[in-house]
Amino acid sequence: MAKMEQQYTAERVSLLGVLLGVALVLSFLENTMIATSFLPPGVKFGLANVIVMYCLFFMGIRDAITIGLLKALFVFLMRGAVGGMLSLAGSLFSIGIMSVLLMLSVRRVSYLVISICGAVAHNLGQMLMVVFIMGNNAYFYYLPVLLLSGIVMGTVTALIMRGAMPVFQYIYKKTKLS
Amino acid sequence: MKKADCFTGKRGFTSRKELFLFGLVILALLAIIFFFPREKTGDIIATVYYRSEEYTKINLSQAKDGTILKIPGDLPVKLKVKNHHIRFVDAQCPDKICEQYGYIGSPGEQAVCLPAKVGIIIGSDASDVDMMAK
Repeated sequence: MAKMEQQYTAERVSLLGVLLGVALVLSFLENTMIATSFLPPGVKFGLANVIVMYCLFFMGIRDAITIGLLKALFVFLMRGAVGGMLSLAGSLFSIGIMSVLLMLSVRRVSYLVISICGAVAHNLGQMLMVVFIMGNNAYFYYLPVLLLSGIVMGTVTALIMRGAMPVFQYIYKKTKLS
Repeated sequence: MKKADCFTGKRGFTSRKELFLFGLVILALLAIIFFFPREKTGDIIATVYYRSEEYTKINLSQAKDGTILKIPGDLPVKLKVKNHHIRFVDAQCPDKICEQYGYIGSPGEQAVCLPAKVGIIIGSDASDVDMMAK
């Protein structure tokens, strides 16, 4: 089915709202978990990426970007401008890379690769924003750590997505939104 | 974008080739992280940056324990020195991510407080900036 003009029906808007809520709860949970863990600061699980990926795979790029922007807005309201900018940079970069990968028709890229690239791109986007804010190239020191955590966390989110696929397909079938 | 392609079944979860490749990449990154050469000669110098400009330098090898450095500005922060290491304390930012870095003291290590625009980068006397940053 070719992508036809999307209509922002009440159903679509409310589904987006629910998805946003789930994404925010996941972010909150992973932040409270991170505080007591051994991971270096700046490393995130990226559980909310599962929601973004659902939007990207099932609903379209526009909706994924909407979720990303709203998430960043929420972070901006809760934690200030800096947090908001970081979240925005990470989300947009991540969605951008994943969209490009999805649209590649030369070779069908698998879910795991998309997820990992999305997570790594998210970290890269945030790192670029840090360097931009601080104005100093030396902060690229954390690059290998972020790449590694991006790969690991991307795998985790891909596995979660795989496990949740029946639920996603149920939602997709029930709402017939695409 | 076409219809959700988990239904068409054309996009798989992964493949053996990809797993092998990722394994290699992970090993390579781990090797870089653990075996990257560090300058270990000379005194350890912590360079404090405020708003992308160098604010001050602290010689951690010689600084006294308990030294507190206050960085003024819109969002004041304090840096505390202890046992040749330095950390953020008493930061007025909402996240306190900077405090989570804890004590840092090895060349190349960093801590930043983004809202306050304060960053600490540890270098050494021999070469002030970590090799990777060059």
